[in-house]
Amino acid sequence: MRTLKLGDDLFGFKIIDKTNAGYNIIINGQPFCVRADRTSPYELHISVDNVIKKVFLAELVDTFHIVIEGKDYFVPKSASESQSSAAEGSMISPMPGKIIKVLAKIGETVKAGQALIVMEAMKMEHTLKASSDGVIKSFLAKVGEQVPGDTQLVEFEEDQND
Amino acid sequence: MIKKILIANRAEIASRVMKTAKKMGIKTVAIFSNEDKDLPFVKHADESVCLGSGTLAETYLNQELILKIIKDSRADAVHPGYGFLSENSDFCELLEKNKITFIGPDSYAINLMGDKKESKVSMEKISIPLVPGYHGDNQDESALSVEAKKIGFPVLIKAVAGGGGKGMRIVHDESSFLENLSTAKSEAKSAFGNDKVILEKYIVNPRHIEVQVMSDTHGGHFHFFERECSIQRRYQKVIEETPSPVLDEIKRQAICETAVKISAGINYRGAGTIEFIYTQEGDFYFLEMNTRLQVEHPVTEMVTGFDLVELQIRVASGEKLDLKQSEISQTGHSLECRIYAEDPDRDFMPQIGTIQYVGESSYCRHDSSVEDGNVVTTGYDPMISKVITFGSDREDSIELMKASLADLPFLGLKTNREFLGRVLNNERFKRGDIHTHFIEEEKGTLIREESLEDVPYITTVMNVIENDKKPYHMTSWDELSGFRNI
Repeated sequence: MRTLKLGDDLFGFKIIDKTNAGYNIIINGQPFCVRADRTSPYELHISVDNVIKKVFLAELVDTFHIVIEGKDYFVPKSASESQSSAAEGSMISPMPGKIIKVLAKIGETVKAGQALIVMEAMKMEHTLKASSDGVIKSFLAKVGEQVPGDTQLVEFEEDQND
Repeated sequence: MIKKILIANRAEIASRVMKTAKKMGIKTVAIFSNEDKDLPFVKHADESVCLGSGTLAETYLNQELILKIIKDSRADAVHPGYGFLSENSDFCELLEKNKITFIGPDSYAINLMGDKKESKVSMEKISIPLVPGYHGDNQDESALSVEAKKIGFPVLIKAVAGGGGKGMRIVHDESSFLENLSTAKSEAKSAFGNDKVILEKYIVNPRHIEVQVMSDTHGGHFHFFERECSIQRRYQKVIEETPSPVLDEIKRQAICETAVKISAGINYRGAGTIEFIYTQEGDFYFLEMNTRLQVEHPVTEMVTGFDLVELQIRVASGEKLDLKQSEISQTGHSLECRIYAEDPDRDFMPQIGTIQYVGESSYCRHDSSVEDGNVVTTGYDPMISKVITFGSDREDSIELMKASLADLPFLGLKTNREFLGRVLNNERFKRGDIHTHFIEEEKGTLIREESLEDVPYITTVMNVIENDKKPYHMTSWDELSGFRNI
């Protein structure tokens, strides 16, 4: 059984048999007869109970980008893998850019939501906020530095009570 | 006659200009930064010259370097596109000094319209309607209070030196005027060291309506009707259309004639856009004039049938446009959607990544900056393409737009494409009941909704991919694991 999370809903699904006509697939206990035909490297025609839709598909680093009738889906490659690298009490850059301001000091006690770093990317400013209350242990980038996306920029002191 | 045009710009607008130049038998030169070397516009030119790497000032805004490339390539004219050097009067004068044709207005018009205060003073002289306000030197509290009453509430207090909302206050009634005036003044004092303010009538939920004008150097001043650009996010337009759903024939004529009065009044040359603010009461006021080609010019081309870049080039060559205003007409309806690499569900945060597959659609004109395999970086504006449809009426071009957006998946990164589709499906948008705060106001109805009927399709795709990765299960799907790794 595999799972698909869509918004707040979780769907369990599995293939029960494969025939020349396609697959039989059970989703949350309900059976569907499906068939897939690839028409180009990025295009599939998928039939579900004889309703055919054009589906676009590309493989990204951690997700599959699927587009159905104009709707975007970014489906994690491995449903079991937990989310991103953003751990509690750390802050990551949302995209590559340049650090233009650091608004707190090492050793400072900050509240969740407090602005800590301003970065500039795509000619716009983005403020990174504290993800929780804590004491700043270190900044992992300096003003003026170019940082890649998805990179931790601030470290908090370990919580003694944890 | 112009023989070779250097396009001092990048991306879709560079490709757009080259297309018309080619049609007219004119050679083109592209300039590009290292970062842009793989974009299609570099290949669309007859010659392309690299500007190297660096900041904008070192590349696309580097006037000396660009002048050298113009001379080396023996281009006799420059098309500045939009943004960058298009409204830079120094550049315009530099070209003039070097006997190179600037495909745009003269530096006088650029300077006049670039100065937000001066332009309003000169518009007032030729009786163009301006947002009622007080721009005088008397900063006395009671004098300003009297002026505010004269204008009528709500009133906007604006710091003359202001920007970014600092020193700006909307005052809804007389009783809170003085209090707001003093906060605005102290904010302005500390932010800009200047506490001088102006007063303006605050227009509640205005529409943005603009008029395309084109003037030759023989006294011909024409308009090419209006565009409505009220659908904006972060003060940037994302959907534009013509005709505007709000104008009736009388209003349309009034606003278009006012635009021509302006272009004739300043003896303008070339393509320009006069922007108006249009109130709920149906009044319109001059906002500013953009002395260049606009991003959204294609919708005008669709409904009038004119190639605006061709007209720009002909005017710049000194040609008299053999036209009568009555020969320019508006047929059907056209819509433009700007595709941005951004995440609408996370405050329109810019996105980066590789575009693996753009897609193709037969329902639209697609002015794209990118093609399959191009990388979207943080270096430039996140607009990656413009989708333009032309229908018999508004409903028709909306339907064509929905079909086009579904054909163009822009696989590889998040874009605002799906979000634009949500706007097109919004009931108020469909009725044409829009204004510049529409997206903000309709936020709640424009959020993403999961479509459960897609679940079997998605799970099928996931199975297909999974099976594909097992070597013993070689079906026609095995090709799927062979995605191009760009």
